[in-house]
Parts: sequence; structure tokens; C-alpha cells
Amino acid sequence: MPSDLAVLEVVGAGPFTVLAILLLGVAGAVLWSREHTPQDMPSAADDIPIQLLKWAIGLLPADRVDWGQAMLGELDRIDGDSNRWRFALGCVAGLVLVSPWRPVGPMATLAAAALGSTVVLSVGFVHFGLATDPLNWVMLAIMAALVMGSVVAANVLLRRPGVAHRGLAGGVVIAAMWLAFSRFTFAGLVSPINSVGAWSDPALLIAVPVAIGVGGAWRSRSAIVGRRAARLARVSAGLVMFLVSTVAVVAIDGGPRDPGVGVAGGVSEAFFNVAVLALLVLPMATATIGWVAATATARLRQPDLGWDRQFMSTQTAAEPAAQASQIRPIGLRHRAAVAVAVVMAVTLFLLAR
Amino acid sequence: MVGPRALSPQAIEVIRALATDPARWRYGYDLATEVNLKSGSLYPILIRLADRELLETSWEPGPPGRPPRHLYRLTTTGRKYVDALDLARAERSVPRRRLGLSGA
Repeated sequence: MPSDLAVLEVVGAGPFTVLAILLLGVAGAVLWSREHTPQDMPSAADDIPIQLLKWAIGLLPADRVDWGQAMLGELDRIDGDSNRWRFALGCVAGLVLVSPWRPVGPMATLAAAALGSTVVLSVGFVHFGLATDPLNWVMLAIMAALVMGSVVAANVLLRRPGVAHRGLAGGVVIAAMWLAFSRFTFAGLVSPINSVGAWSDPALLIAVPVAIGVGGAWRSRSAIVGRRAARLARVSAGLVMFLVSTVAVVAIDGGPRDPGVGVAGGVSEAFFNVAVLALLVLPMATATIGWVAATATARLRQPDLGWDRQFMSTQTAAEPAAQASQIRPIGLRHRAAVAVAVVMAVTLFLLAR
Repeated sequence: MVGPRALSPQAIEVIRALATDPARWRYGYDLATEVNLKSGSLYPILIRLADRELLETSWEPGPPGRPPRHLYRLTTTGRKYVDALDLARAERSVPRRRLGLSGA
């Protein structure tokens, strides 16, 4: 199994880049904290099972929300931590996994991409004799968890109002950029960011996520929709690119490898690298930067928070819209903190070039 | 009106539990405990039963500051469905008795 350093090399990112992304995340967190009023915070009576259930109820379509309220009413009367957890987790599993996965077309496409990549991985595992090394089984388990996690995340995000089209369009943009930067070659797909000039790294890591976050929030006038669209974009692009990349790994026997490393070792390392790249590192960068961009865009536009609140997961029709007017202006200190974080992030990113 | 798709064994268990005292309103958690179903299985079943008009629902207001509780009982259609199930089971058992296969 490859080291973390090898993964960073494939991504084309150094510690400075990672730090820059983290700093941008801090800037976004500051903006996000100003977006939420104390009324948004869970009440003292809301234990974790209730909060989990409220989150999952947000996945229900409008004509099913009363069933979510029914679950909440029942949970309210259940005594004992273990009983409450069991009931809440059962409901959450039912809402996330058992309820119909909609919209059907996009969900079926992403599930097919996940299944396809699993089949290609299995074929590669057998064909290159990877089963003999126990570390490869660990790698396979990690990849399976990442793929499953991505499918569940896509299922959750696709059901949020106003997110599907924007998120999927963003996913198509990311996937198209990756393919273009790989010059549509198998070798480029196995290590896409190193295949073109130095400008490709900031373009993929910064410009594309910013465009998706800004686009999602600008059109919808909602930071929440923009953030969810950025997350869906990275999940959908990640699943599709993981499928394409695993095919590339098998097609070119893992691509170039270090002297002394056999075919099986090279393939194993390439599988792990594309998994971390497609399903973890770039998705995290896209989600973080897209999240910051969406939050900042919505705040700059000073949206009507009441309009935005309809997208909040725990929102119910009964909640008074009067809370909406309580959006808090960004204070000078917060503006300064965000500005410093962004400047530091940009500086660090440039240093990493 | 009962739809074309047959109910799952778990759904039949739920409507049979409701049919033991069809006039009484029941809570979801009590039903889940009675038929030994997890909440994640029970609620999709209740939703399907309500969609097929086999089940009627109502709200019981809670004390101040607490959410209301949802209540369930069979509709007239639901009761007829259970009667039809019982009848079908009885008919299936007749040939077995005639052949001496009742297992008694």
C-alpha cells in the first residue's frame, strides 16, 4: 500500500496546499457561524437521537414530512438511552436507505458507476494477483467504504430541494475538467494533475470548486443550496472519475512505477492513489472550497434568510418565518478574520507552487 | 381499494396486529414492539398501508412543549382485507385436512 506522501505527489499537493485549504475552511466556518442564529442551535431537550432524526427527516419529500413528525413524536415518548438510540437509528436507516432513491435516473447512474468501479477493482484484484498481500485487502476495504459512503452521500444530497440539477451540473464540469487535463489518456487519468502544466493544480483545486460554489449559491440565492450543490458535485464527479480511473489502472498495468516494484505492486499503488484522489482528497478540496465560496456568495448577496430557511434540514412548515429576519450582520472583526484567512490561504497556496 | 401488489409478510403481520382490536388507535412504538419490527421497517410499512387506504391515521395532541403523537388503526377496507386473508387461509387449509395433512 502506498504511503501518504505518494498520494500527495499524485494529487500534486504539498503541505502548504493542504494548509491553504484548511485556512479557507476556517474562513468559511466564520461566515457560517454568522449565518446561524441562536435559535438554530439544538435546544437542551434535543439529544443526539433527536438531532439525528431531525436531520434525516429533512430527506423526506414535502408530502411525507408528517411521517417524520410522527417518528419525532414517538421518539419523544421513549425512555432509556439504548431504546432511544435504537428507535432513532432505525428511523434514520429507513429514511436514508430504505426510502425510494430519487431522482431515479441520476441515482441509478451514480450507483452504476459505483458498481462498475467495484467490478473493475475485482477484476484487477484477481488478474494481477493482489489477493496474496493482506495489505491489499485492507486497501480494498477502504476503497469499498469510500465508494459506499459516496453512494449514500449522493442519495442524501439528491433528495434535498434545489440541489440535484446544480450539483450534477457541477459534477459534470469537474469530471470534464479532469478528463481534459488528463488529455484523455490512461496515463493522465492515473495521475491527472501532473499530466499538464503547473496551472492545472490551482484550476482543479481552486477555480472549479469556487465556480461551483458561487454558481450554486448565486442562482438559488441560498448558501445552503450552494454548499449542498458543491458536495453533490464532488461526490458525483468522484464516483464517475473513480470508475474511469480504475479502468485506466487496469488498462496500463498501473502505469509508470518505481524501479524494483513489480506489476502487482504498481497496480496496487495506482488503485489506492486513484481511490484517495477521486473519492477523498479532491472531493474534500472541492467540498471545502465550494462550501466557502457558496457561503461567501450568499452573504455578499445578503439573502433573505427566511427564503433560505426552507432548505434547512430540520425546517418544518410550522416554524415561524419571523425568525428569518434575525440574520446577523457581519461585524468588522469577522470581516477582518475572514480577510486574513483568505489572504493567508492564497499566500500559502502560491508558496506551494 | 387494495392495490395490485401483495403485501409483504411483515406488513401482513402489522395489519393482523391492528386487527386484534380494530377500533382502538395504536402508537407506532407499541406496534413495533408488538410485532418485533425495527422502526426503520415499521414506518415504511405504515406509509404503504396508509397509501393503500388500509390504515387511517390521527394525531394525539401532546402536552405543552411536546410534539403530538401519531395514531393508527385499520380502515373498513383494511378490516375487509384482513377478513379476506383469513378466508383465503381457511380455504387453503381445507384440502390439507381432507388429505389428512393437518399435522394434528
